[in-house]
Amino acid sequence: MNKVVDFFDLLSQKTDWLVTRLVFVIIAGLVLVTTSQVVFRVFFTALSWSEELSRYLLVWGTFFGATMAYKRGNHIALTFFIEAFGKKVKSMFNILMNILSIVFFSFVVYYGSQMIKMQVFQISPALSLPMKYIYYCIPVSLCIMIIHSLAGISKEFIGFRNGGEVQ
Amino acid sequence: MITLLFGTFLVLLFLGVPVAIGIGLTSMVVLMSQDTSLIVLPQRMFAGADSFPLVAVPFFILAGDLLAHGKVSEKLVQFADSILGFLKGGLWVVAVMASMFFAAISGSGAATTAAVGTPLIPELRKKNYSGEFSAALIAAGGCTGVVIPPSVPMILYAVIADQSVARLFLNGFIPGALMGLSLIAAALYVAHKNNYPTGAKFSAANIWKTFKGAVWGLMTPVIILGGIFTGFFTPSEAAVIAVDWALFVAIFIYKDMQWRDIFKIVTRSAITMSVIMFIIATSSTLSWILANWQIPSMIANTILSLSENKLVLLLLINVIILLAGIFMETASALIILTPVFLPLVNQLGIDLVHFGLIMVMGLAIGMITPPVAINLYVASTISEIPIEKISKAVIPLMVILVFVLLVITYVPLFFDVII
Amino acid sequence: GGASNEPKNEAPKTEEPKAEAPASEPIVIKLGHTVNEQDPYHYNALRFKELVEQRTNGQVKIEIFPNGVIGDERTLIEGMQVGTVDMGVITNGPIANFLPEIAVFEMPFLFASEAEAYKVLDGEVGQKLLNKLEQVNIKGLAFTERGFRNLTNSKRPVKTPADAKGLKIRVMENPVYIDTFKALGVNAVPMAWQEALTAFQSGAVEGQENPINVAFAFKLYESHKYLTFTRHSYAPASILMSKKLFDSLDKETQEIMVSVAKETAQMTRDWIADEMEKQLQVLRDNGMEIEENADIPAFQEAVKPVYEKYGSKFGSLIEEINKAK
Ligand code: NA
Ligand code: NA
Repeated sequence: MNKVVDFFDLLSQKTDWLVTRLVFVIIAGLVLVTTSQVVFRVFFTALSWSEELSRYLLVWGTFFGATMAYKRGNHIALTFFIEAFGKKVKSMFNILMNILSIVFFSFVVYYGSQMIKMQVFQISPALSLPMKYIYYCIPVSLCIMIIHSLAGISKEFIGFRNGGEVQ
Repeated sequence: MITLLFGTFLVLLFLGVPVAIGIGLTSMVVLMSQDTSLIVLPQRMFAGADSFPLVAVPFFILAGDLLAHGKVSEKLVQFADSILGFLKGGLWVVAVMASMFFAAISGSGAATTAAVGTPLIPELRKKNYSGEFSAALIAAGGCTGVVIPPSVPMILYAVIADQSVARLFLNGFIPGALMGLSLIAAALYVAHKNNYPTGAKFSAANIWKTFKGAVWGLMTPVIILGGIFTGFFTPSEAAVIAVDWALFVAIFIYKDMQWRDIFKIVTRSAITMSVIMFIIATSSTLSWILANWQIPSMIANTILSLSENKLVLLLLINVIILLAGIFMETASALIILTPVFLPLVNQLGIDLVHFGLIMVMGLAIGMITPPVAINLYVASTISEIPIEKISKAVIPLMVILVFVLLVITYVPLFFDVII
Repeated sequence: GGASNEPKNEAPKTEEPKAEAPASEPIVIKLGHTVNEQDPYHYNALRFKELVEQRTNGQVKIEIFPNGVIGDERTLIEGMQVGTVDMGVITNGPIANFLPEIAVFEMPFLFASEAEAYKVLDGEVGQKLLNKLEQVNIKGLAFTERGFRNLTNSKRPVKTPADAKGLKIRVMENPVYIDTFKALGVNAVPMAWQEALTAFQSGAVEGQENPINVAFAFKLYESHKYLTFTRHSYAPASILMSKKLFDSLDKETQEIMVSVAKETAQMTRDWIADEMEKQLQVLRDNGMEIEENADIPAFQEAVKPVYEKYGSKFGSLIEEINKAK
């Protein structure tokens, strides 16, 4: 059991380390691209791809950033109801929440991949990028959230065994 | 289907499932019950986040965070305190005025709340102002973001209802100012009731001293507003200029920012931004479902069939707008409901620009009515105060804004006043 | 299941019954577009609805979703591919993201008149491209119309390319348009339309290029004083259907769909032509100065590099079009 927990925990940590760097690059890129958009339009000639790239960086930042928020428990939730219970029940609610989330993520990952399969032809208007690459952010980021959920669940199980305390 | 939708959503919320995921799961259940392909989920989630005006959201959060780190926002608050400190709750007045100011820059409620809340909420707490009420006030102030021009929803309305954008914008100032002033009145009342201490004593010397300290921060709005009005950049782009300026001040003026700090601030802002954007993304799925099965129009038509009296109908229209605002994000509600109302509004002989203001104001209030309440989520994420606490604190402010909405509905006194 | 019946009769709180459809249950088709109810696309959608419902004796019902309520043009096309959206009236530009060859119609000064465009679009070349959409799971029913695109701006009257030089003009995010305007010496700014509407007001962008009906619908006279009949490009639109849905219809209904689409497309073209004079009068009455005799040969000369750059991309298509005109 401890091995399973350690595995998911480590996987979740390492992925998050990587995603944090990726998100930093995305946001820095977003600042750079949007600034260039203004500078080039005003002082030189307008860039043809900057608006589209900004939007796609925002989408990527959104979904990968959402994995970081998920790992840190930052997504907004109503907690007053489950706060009313004891530790054990709260743990169970937490496991249930993670399972429900995994259900949602899995469906979106599956259908996101279906969508990508159907979009082999579509290209983006300004950058002429295949849309499938841009769409990849959805299944990939939701897979990462599944990893974080599994890590969360396995920690709760350890907690049960040790009498309600999360290690 | 409606029962299934609301039932699922409420159960998920009470189980503590994050709002964004709860909205997504609800959409999933409804789509399954209607035998519709679940490809709608990833497709709408992508489309919901894929919008250039939304780029302002991360930028305003980032700019606010950078200013807060560089002590710029602290100095700004000291300056504000030197002017309004003689008032109990003076800093709340500043917060609402800042919201109205940013409303004149940004076209969305979320961006306005983020721009004001990120630097101000921590400072207000340092000065022992109630965190919950501060967050609620700034969320409510964010509603003026779409009423005071520029405004994305007003542009949408102008197009659908075939009205002049310029005339809508022009007539947005007074309702927006009225919303702001009533929020200021509410804040002053709360501060007096709870006997808040006054701040700095009013003295010209102190104003001058704090002004000198705050001058770099005060340049931020000057640059942004100047850039927009001279046509250098669009309101959405203005947000990135704010980031550039904040970085410039932190690195070259105050020289107090290390590479490590920048990394930390950027990733922290990214998390805040993505919490909001993830809700916007999954809400987009729910909006699609509501539109596709024409649920808002169905409910609206049922309610409107209750009366034929003009004054009553106006009230019913307000009720529908507020109801829609509870469950839907502003833009979707607007494009779905406007065509439903237009024939009736024409028949009643109501000026369509006046009606546009009613729509936009009513839906703006929806930004602080949970469960789909983007401004509250922004305020909650920034302040780290649980959403249910902010929701409770915002109720009186919501009531006040509804009152202003009714005034604007029934008293079109302020109409086409040239400013 | 759909909540599509008359809404006033019953309270909407009950769940929709999932009835097994008997043979007489009408097929409900949801048609989306992204413009308002005064637009030619909506006119086309309404006529299509009327004629289809009439000719199928109510066996097919059309529900229209204007204003982009169920998605922008790109996502409407995707929805049709997957089957979550049934039909759409869609501008040519976004379709080209799915079928690049169809962008050939965006080439500058390809058609000199509406008649020329109709001949090509309704003829062999047009039909070939519509059929090719089946490769991406879309059934192309007919070409309808957005119209010839013209330049408006807030700065100065434009008669020759030299007058347009340096103007900041919003263009669609489409390489052909961008290069066309770059070739004219214009500072071509690709920008989403909504963002552009704000940018016109502040002057961050000084002009745009669209058919007259767009200048009219968006009251561009509020920010732009000058309109030039550049007619630099003819924008078709298409009536599209999900191929999945089309294949599921019986032969007779399929034929009705295609023929009604073609008929209503022609009705829409006629309607646009009729409306144009009235719209131009409104633009004039609101103070717009209209240049009707632009130096078209000079514009054509200036955009030659665009043909050099993109001509080969479209293979023999441009030649075929020129032959068919
Ligand atoms: Na605004
Ligand atoms: Na709401």
